[in-house]
Amino acid sequence: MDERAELLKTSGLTVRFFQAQGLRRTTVVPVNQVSLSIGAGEILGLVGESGSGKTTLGRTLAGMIVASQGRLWFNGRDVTRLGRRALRQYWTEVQMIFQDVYNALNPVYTVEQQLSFPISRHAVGKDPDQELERLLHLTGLTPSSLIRRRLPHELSGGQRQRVAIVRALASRPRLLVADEPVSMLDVSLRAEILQLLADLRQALGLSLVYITHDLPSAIAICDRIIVMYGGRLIESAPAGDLVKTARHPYTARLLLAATFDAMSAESRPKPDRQASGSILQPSYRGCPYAPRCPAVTDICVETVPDWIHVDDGHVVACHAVASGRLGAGLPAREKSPG
Amino acid sequence: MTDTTKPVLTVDHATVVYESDDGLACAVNDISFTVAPGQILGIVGESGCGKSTLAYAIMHLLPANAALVEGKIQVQGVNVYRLTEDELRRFRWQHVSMVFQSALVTLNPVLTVGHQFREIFRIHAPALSRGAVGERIEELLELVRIHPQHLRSYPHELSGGMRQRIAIAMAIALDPDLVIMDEPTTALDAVVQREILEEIRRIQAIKHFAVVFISHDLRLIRYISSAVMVMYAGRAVETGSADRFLHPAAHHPYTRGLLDSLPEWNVDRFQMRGIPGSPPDLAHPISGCAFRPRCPIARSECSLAPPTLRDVGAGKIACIDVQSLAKGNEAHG
Amino acid sequence: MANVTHGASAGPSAAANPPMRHTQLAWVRRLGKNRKARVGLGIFAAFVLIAVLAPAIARYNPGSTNFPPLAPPSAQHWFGTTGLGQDVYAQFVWGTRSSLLVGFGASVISTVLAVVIGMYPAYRGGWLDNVMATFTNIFLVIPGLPLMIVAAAYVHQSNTLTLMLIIGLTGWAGRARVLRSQTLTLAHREFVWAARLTGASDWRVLVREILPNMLSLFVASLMYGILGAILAEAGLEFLGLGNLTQVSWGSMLYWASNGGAELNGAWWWLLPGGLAIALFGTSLALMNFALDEVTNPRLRQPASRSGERLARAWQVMKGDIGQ
Ligand SMILES: Nc1ncnc2c1ncn2[C@@H]1O[C@H](COP(=O)(O)OP(=O)(O)OP(=O)(O)O)[C@@H](O)[C@H]1O
Ligand SMILES: Nc1ncnc2c1ncn2[C@@H]1O[C@H](COP(=O)(O)OP(=O)(O)OP(=O)(O)O)[C@@H](O)[C@H]1O
Ligand code: SF4
Ligand SMILES: [Mg+2]
Ligand SMILES: [Mg+2]
Repeated sequence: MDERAELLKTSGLTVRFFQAQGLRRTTVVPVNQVSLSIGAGEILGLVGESGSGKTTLGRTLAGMIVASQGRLWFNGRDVTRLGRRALRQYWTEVQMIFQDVYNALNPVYTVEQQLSFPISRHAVGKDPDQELERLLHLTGLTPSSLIRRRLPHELSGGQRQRVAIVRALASRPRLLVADEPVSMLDVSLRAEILQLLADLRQALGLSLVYITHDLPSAIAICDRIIVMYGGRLIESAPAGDLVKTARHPYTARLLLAATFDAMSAESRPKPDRQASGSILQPSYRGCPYAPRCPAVTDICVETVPDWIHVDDGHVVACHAVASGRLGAGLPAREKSPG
Repeated sequence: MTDTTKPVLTVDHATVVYESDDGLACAVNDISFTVAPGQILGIVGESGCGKSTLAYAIMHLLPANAALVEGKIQVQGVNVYRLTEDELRRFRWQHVSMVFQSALVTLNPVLTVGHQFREIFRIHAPALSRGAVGERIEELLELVRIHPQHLRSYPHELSGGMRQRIAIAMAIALDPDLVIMDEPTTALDAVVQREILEEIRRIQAIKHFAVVFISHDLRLIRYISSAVMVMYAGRAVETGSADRFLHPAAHHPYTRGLLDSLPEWNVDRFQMRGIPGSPPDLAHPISGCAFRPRCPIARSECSLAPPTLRDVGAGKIACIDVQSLAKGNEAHG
Repeated sequence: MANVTHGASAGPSAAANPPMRHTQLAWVRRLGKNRKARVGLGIFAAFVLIAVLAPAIARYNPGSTNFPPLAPPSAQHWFGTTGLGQDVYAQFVWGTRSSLLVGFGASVISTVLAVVIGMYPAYRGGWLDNVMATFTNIFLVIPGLPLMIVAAAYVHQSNTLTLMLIIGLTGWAGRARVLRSQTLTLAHREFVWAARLTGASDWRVLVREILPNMLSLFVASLMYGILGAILAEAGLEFLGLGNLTQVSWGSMLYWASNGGAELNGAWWWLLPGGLAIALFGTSLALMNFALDEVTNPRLRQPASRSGERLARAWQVMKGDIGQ
């Protein structure tokens, strides 16, 4: 598929959470049998339903959660279960940008104080102060002299988000797991920041896992996009192909919903029934999308669909695609007005 | 329930400043608008332009180093800044509620979601029976597509989008007259986002409450709102009906930039474009129009005085050159 | 005890004060402006000063019995003399020194234990936390005073150091639990993770990232520890389990009540020890209340004054930039 060297690989990665609910203890499996690989310098998009396990998967890749099953390799080394020292070593190579920007910065430190430690630690042979200045400018945090002295509560949501991005970049990771890194930025700033990430990939060979709900930006910067639903990966394709030839019914639905303007009232799909809480439970068998899928058949509720290779680098897990009932392409879409 | 002719919210020349070591920074500058019952006003603008500050000002929740230094804010004809602490407490949940940009503000990390829901009803609607409260909560959860089993979850056991949806459900729990939503859907996928927006519009049409919807995403704003206000550097630079943003019309150069950087769906590979230049410095404002350094049509007169909103067709634009903008647009369309 | 765990209660009231939740260290500044804090700190400082300057200001040797017994306060003997003819003022000054020493020392010991047994394992998590939490809980159900009495009885001749150890080693459990629960709520916040991901060591994360966010709780716990230790010391001395050859507030009380101060109407002998304890306790309590006021958003007053000031400043600025 790609001649890039592999940086990170997982096989059958599974995460379980136990939740005390009154006297009962329930188990959720937000990451279920996930196998994927990320090349050095690759930008991998991770999209999917809210609550489908993207954050949990991202945290597991970053070594913050220990998988209950499966394996995780980084640079050829098994990092599934590391000791504390080895983990600290791993963490110098992996960084995470957190989804919750209001929790991501330490409330008691100014922007400069937050950033000075990672910068001075990693900016070898550079003036840390200049490096900080440069990063603040690159992310539009100007006037930097003012922003530096601000405490987190004196920043707007989008400004906090950018400080968190700077902190992650300052550590010069080889792998960056960015969980909704630009969710609070307008298109213009968003474009600049994503361009910055793409440039870093060129310059430093940074690999990026870009978790997002913003499909257009994912399609713009990612090499490959993986779609997640109910804790499982359901489709993976080169970014450009996904828009044109999405095969999984959920992906098609997602793409359709993302094109706001293009839809008249009648063509809007009927709302889904109430979100089903059971698909993340260990007892659930079958395709995670089955409770909502318009193309569902008997086999769908009984067995998890296997991966089917549909095109070059394009795989999908759906029984209907396997049996040829679902062809390529999206439902007809109108052109959007400029 | 409410008089449909009187506006729910009147913001009249509101100005909010923050005080810091560097002096004053004006985050909301002379903004006026009204929101009628059943209306959805969308507010759009880039990061740091003062959207949340405006929302906090309406809620009378500005932090200690900020103040509404000019202007008046009225909800249902009542000046928000004349209320006592006690009145404010009641006012905040029953008449005006807010979905904060951070769900953390609404959710207490050490209590279950169910506990917090019941607490709202216990305090603000004590007359409701246990059963009725339970039903109402389930109804609200259904609305935001959350399974009732999550009533037993603590906030940290929910995904980012689930927390956001809980916050939305709490804000509309008591059928307020006005709901302020500050970036309520940043953690939601397109499908769920669409569904929830539809639901909000549906119940909003029934209950007739007004919504102020804040977002950085013009595509979302023009889809959900009936009227739109575009902010730049603390000022309103354009207002008008949502239609104006869907169809060719005259726009402020900043809005034009926003519209031009929207990704188009009918191309093979999206190009991400931005508006060149850096965001304005609120603590050291430049003379005249704040957008001047980034504006493609800026002239020397632009530095004289900040332009005021002037009528163009179905909207208003604050630009020195409204006339030629309107004409240029005819050529454009 | 300062109620600083998360400042606000359920959703509704939390929403009433959102921006303040984030102003974490501003309370240090506000503390300086608080009346209770100033009075409390004043008394506290006075005691510390007495303790430090004891050798210079005591006037007499507290042990010397060369004076007429049971003399009422006079110019020679400011606080009068004891039944054995010792100077009460000298005893009070030196007693302050040793009581505070035991108080501070024991509090430092128990705080270190509370941090090591409560905070660190809470941050690390896993088996270590389980073991330490169980250990803490076991310690908590053993009543404190009897435990101390038993310990003191084993150490036949206790001196200042052994007293510190006995009190410190028996008094950490409650505070360990408080610190632990607060650490637990902070340990998995994203900013703490971010610090770990930059490769910071465990102790660095604990001290630099977590502790500053619970500083008010930590300070309150420290003060509570000092007060507890001083009361415990007084208790042990009063029961005759301390070191009665060393003057302290507790031993002053012991000798006064056993030497028949009441019978002889020698109020000047009885009063200083008890009053010192009460006054010192009051100063800690005042500081604690003040801390509560400035850190708990719900007890705070709205800043209406600053609004008018800002409005005036804004008018001036508007004139300057010609808007
Ligand atoms: N600590 C936890 N304990 C129990 N359940 C959890 C925990 N963390 C997450 N979950 C559950 O795991 C599921 C996946 O959560 P996750 O945060 O990974 O979703 P997500 O894909 O990132 O969603 P979003 O897009 O809304 O952020 C959710 O159903 C959530 O309730
Ligand atoms: N407490 C504060 N003290 C000083 N300045 C502040 C404070 N809070 C916000 N600001 C500044 O005021 C400006 C407006 O902030 P606000 O939060 O209203 O922006 P916003 O439009 O909501 O942005 P975003 O979309 O990024 O959330 C920002 O430049 C911010 O840095
Ligand atoms: S496997 Fe079945 S249920 Fe799942 S997406 Fe395909 S058709 Fe739908
Ligand atoms: Mg998430
Ligand atoms: Mg905001």
